[in-house]
Amino acid sequence: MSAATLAQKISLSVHKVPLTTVFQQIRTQTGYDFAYTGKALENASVVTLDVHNDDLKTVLDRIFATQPLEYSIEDKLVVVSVRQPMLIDRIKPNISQGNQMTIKGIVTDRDNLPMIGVTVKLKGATNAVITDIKGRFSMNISTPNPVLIFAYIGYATKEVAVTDKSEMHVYLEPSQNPLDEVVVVGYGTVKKADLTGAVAQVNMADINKAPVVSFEDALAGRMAGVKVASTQGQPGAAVEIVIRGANSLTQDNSPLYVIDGFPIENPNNSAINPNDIASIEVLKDASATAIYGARGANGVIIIETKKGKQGKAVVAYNASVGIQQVNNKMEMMSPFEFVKLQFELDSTTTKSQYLTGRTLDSYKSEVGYDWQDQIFRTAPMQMHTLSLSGGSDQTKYAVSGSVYDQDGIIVNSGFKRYQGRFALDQTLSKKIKVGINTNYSYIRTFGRVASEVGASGSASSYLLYSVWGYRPINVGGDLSGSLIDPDIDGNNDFRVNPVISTQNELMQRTTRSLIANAYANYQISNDLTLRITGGISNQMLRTDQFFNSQTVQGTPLLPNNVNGSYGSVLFQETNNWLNENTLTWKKTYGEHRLEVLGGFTAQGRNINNYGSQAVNVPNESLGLSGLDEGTPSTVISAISQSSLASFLSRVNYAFKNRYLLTGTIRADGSSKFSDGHKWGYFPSGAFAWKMTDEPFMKSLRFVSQSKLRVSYGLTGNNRVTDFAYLASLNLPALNSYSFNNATPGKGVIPVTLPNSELKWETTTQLDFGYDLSLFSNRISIIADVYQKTTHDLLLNANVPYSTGYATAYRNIGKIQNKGLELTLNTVNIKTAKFSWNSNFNISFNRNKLLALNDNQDNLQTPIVWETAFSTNPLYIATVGGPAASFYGYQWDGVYQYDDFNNSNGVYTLKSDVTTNGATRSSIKPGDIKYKDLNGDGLVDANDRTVIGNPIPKHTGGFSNNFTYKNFDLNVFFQWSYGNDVFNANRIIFEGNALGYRNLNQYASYTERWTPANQSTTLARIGGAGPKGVYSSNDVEDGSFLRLKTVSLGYRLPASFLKVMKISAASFSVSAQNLITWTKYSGMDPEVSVQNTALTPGFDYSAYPRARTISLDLKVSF
Amino acid sequence: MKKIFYLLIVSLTFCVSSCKKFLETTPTDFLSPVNYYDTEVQLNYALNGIYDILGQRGVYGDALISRMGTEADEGFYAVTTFNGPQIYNHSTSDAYVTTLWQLLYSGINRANVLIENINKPVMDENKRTVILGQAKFLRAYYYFLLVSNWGDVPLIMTATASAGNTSIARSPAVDVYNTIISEMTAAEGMVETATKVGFGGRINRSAIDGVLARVCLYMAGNPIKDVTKYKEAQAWTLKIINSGEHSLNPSFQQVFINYSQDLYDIKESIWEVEFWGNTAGIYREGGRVGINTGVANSWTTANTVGYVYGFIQTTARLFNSYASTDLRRDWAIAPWRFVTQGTVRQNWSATQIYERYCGKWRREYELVTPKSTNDSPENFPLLRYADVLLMYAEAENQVNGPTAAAYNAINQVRRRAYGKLVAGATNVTAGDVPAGLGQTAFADYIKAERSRELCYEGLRKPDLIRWGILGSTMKSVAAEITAGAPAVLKYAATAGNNLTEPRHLLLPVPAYELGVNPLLTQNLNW
Repeated sequence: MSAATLAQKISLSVHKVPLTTVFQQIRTQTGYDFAYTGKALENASVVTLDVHNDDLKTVLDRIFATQPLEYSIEDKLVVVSVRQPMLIDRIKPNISQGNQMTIKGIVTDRDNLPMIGVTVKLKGATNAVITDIKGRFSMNISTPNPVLIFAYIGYATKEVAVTDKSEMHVYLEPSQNPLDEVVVVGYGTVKKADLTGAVAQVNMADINKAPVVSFEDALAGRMAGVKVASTQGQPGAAVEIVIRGANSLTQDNSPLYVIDGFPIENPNNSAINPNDIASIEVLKDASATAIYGARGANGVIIIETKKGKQGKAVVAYNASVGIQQVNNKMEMMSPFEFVKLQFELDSTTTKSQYLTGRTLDSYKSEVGYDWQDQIFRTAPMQMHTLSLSGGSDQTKYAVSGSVYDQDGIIVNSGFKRYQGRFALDQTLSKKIKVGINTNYSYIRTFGRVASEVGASGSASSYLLYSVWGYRPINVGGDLSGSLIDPDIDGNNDFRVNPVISTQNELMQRTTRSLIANAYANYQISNDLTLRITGGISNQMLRTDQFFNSQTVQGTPLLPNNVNGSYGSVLFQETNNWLNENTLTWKKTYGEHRLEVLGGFTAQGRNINNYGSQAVNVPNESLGLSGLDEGTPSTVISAISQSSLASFLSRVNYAFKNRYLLTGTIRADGSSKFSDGHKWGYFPSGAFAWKMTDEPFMKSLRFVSQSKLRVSYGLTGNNRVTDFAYLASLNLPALNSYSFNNATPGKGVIPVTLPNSELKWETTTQLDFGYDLSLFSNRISIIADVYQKTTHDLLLNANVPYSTGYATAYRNIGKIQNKGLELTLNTVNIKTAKFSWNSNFNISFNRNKLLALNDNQDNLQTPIVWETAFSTNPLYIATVGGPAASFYGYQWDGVYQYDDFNNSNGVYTLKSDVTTNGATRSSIKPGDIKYKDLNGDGLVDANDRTVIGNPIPKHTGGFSNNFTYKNFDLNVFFQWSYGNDVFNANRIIFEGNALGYRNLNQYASYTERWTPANQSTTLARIGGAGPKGVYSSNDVEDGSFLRLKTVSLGYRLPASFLKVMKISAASFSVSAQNLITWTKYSGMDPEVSVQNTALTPGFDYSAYPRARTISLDLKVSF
Repeated sequence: MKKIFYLLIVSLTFCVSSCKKFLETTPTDFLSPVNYYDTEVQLNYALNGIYDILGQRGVYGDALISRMGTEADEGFYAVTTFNGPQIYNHSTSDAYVTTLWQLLYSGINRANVLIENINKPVMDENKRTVILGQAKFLRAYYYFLLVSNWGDVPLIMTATASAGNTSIARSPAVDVYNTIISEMTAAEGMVETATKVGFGGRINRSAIDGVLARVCLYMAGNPIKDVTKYKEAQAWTLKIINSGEHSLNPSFQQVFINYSQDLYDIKESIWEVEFWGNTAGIYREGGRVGINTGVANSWTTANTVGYVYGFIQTTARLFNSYASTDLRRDWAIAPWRFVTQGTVRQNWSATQIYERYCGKWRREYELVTPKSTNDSPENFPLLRYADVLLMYAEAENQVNGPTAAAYNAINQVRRRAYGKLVAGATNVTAGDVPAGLGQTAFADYIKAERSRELCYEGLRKPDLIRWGILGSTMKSVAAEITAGAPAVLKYAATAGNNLTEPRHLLLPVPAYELGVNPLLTQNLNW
């Protein structure tokens, strides 16, 4: 409300006139318009008034004091609305007209931290106070039905009606006007309104509602253009983030992370406590990422951690305690169905094994084992964070420590983290400011990776194989009590009790991660600032394994286990150091604003790996400490290093604050390439037009912001091994040769084909963006379309085997990603007590391979999961098509009797019916059938085609925040649409393609073809056709909609807090992965156990994602 | 302000000069060809790397002992669910075909690298020559496997230097053969004699002579048909016979027990692929001899014999070609099978022929324990003296007809087969080849004799090809199987039924290779 408003003088004398008449007269005198609905005025009473030269506010206050209405003034508009009747009723007993009362209260932010210096003002009056160091205020009021206005820079102004509470507790939310927010970009910050590039911001309040260990786990579906794929549900499992589609075919597509200014490739993101994160920004287009040059092509994620704030020391404690459960088990065959199946598979053996002295029907009463019940468990998780922060105007500090302890939903798996952080900012003089920021984490993950390929390379060596496939009934021996199935004489079939083995395996990874940064800011002049930063990050990963005689790996009962009990310890140390020096110069000349940044940075990295293994350990009870008594085996030692030197510059120019130009360039020199190819140059430019400030837009008052953006630029990718350009020799133990029965002599072999021409992979990106905000930012839309073309792909390219090599790094090939991203933020309802905000985002990305090695027109990639399938590629990348498609036979149901000539019960396939790839004479009714695409009468490799698309058509998220009084509710949905998943589990468990006896199957396989059940598409047992081929039978729609997070919170009222002598407290109950809607038949459609750009969406023995329900507590003192 | 600007310029200039050094990193972890091959020890490491190819799974470690090389009239692959070269329905992207091609060229490149660096170290010249001889021979042997399986192949005699231009066209088979002969002939004079080497695992002069004879016989037959090579084959084999270093082991079965027990008999077993250990520890130098081929024994528990898949079962053609008194028959084709957890042997009935497993390699004799299911230490013969004698007889017959020398050579093999070489044997000529055969009849006798002596040793298919009778033989065997095999084993005819000529006389150039080398062409009818 401006002073001019109040200065408007009104003289008015009316007697019992309708309210609208008074409005008309005021409009005539002041030019202020009135907005109301007829319905609102239904209960209005007539007005009697006599004022003389009073200001507008006084007049309006007097008019509305006797009306069941309230008003607000926006610009030159008086908005009239119905006053909440309930409120009046509740106020009446305590606040009678004209009685003076004292209102006390506390103001805190969402984290319950007291807010100092908040202006508290009585609505309709001039009295105002400011909150003290504890966030408290006190005010004397005599106005009836008082309403207080709370205002603080960067936070949304809030009006609160005074109730009968003796003490108020007011929460302020960060500013709802996103245009005033500051966005962190590379080497600086910029006002959101002045952004020229495509930068997505994460709503940290929403992220912190999800009870997760790492921020990555909560990112999925939060931002347009950012695809977060957690490969499976294992605690601590890798989360793969791909921004705007994969650029690189064979190299890493993960973004560059910049943590408190420190750029790191592939950091351990679970080393950071999500509670410590102040902001996450994602740089998407070339204008935003080019400042990171050779490492920017995959996008950049900038993470800033929380710093101390000026004010009294605040101690805060956050705790989450929860339980996790498996969402979805597979339904397995009952003992009866199991034995029936065995009988169909091999009647002779089954008779002697299962039907000696009992009938098949007698199994109907057997309950049997569901091994899933024994391997899956309800697992607890808890997280505690204690933090202390505060500071004076010179010194600000933040210290925190946290403990995270999560058991996995599979026995003997889990995750633990102990983490501490310290941040200090110190102003040394008017011109010099320094600070440090350190984070240390100790992380331990343990348990077998369910989808990790076992030693034998066979489908049977995976964890869930042994869980699903283990026999459901005892015959003779006790299955639950012994490590191996006493009755199995299977063919290379590791049949081991999954529960006993899993409980006895030691597989743990311990990470110690230290990140330490320091900076010094020197304000050289008013316009010029020098910033020098330095930092180190050190990560030590220790991998321990020990397999005793009670594990599948170490049992002496399997003849192949020639290593006995064995174990290993491996240390992998990664050190990074960084120095960055930047100068920033800012100046405004009239309508011209200029900001220039220049800098030099140097960064180095070295990696050391050391470890060893010992086999045939005699005293297994000693565990790892007994390794020294075993036989020394593999010894690993490897070191490598790389360095990067860069010059960078950025110019921001604004004219009339409407036309914004940004130009950046970075020159990167990398040790990873040979002389003459070390340096790469990455320029970009962007232009933004803030139309809102143009005269022609001024009249469109409902438009708060309208901005067009366009950017173009080059970025790079240098993700190759440190010495990929050099020839190398190696002495692998596998390439030895034994002469005269002596211990093999190692062979030295050339392993890499040198390529001195190797250089950066370059991505050019064009981006058009449009930002629109309407109705005082109640609706805001961000839309971006982009086209990225990556050329000179750093391709680990196939070369002719006649060279003696299989692959070599070459700059060859070209790939394109085109896409559309939409983000919609709305404030749907906003009243004093109830509000509803939502965020909706959706991303479309189309990926197209434009060229490959020389005239190669496709690239086929096999998946390693089962030897019989190891040579058939499941994936194909075709020039002109996407980087990954499923490739195989088109499934055509099963052969029926009328496909055969029947001669005395011997069925021979009719000559005009195609084979399925197996020998014609061996095909029987009920066998799987494939389409003969080339029509040559037999199905062979030439009949393979694209059978599925693992890349989604669109992905997105929909987040809703509701608040009502002290309650708040967050409901977050995430989806993926149009992608297929290859469910390899079905090859083994819905058809038993490898033909193992005594292997239990999914209950769905009871619907298989039998002479009595011909109207089915599931092949008969033993009818899976030729081994090792993929078909569309196992390609499933992997689309899903997931109710990912629900969180209901309650903030304790101030009156209660005062008694407890705490400044703020809130409780909430949160759930993760509550409901998933999908057609996928497996445990979880969000799966990609061997995730790369060439091999997405493969499911075999994936660790299922847990449903987590937790109780959270936040208190601050 | 200006001062700062200059400061910046100075510091940038300083940086540019030091940057260059900053970005020079030197690998300290792996070896570079530039600083290797400096000592005799390092040359020997490189030589090990060339030998390593022989034992790889894609060569004699697995593929060439049961899926390829055995797909002839001696037996059939007894697992119906696998497709591949063993039943002639492999595609151009068949993994066995592709891997064999890849590994052979890998070995060739390793040899090229060593040969180019052979003169780097200061060392004893004799030792250098011995190393060079082995490398040259192995390179030529890998080309021999390539040319006999694929015909025209790229002939690359220098190490690949850069990822730049990697496309090389095929050379005519005859050129490849000529290179093989000249390289092997050169190597022959460089390596040590068999007696001096003392065991069959390392290349010796007799091994090269014998393989040269084999190369010459292949060149003399289809598809090159250079009959002048019979004379060279005769000369090379005669050289071995006359060296006095070799003789047949009096016991046929002891030859194979020796392989199982890692015992050497350089007199009989001139060259063999060495396999070692059971994969305990870091080395994986075991093979699948005795595991793929052997009497099936698939009990995983309490199995003291050792796990055997038993992929190869016999044909009646081979079984019936033995006289019942031929001692080789019931060793090469086991007359029994394992039952009851592998502890009991149960004889097949007289009519159960196709059920019988290849029995040449027997795991129960192995000495390395515990016995791994997938890796055995048994060695695999690449050249036995019996083969030398048969090659001599064949070449001599082609050059001079069925002379006494030819008869003498083949009869040595037959006398051993009938137990007549053991001390105190009587009636030593009982198994001899009938006297007075004509040249063709004698040649036909040798064709059958080679199968009786050398069955399942990976030599039959190329023999049938060079004699020009692969297709006809396989068709007639298939007809025999269809007529005579029990119903459940009639699929044994699949290989013969699937085979077509000329398509299956050569392997297809791998689809992968065609995809990345535009200069390549595909073989006929593929």
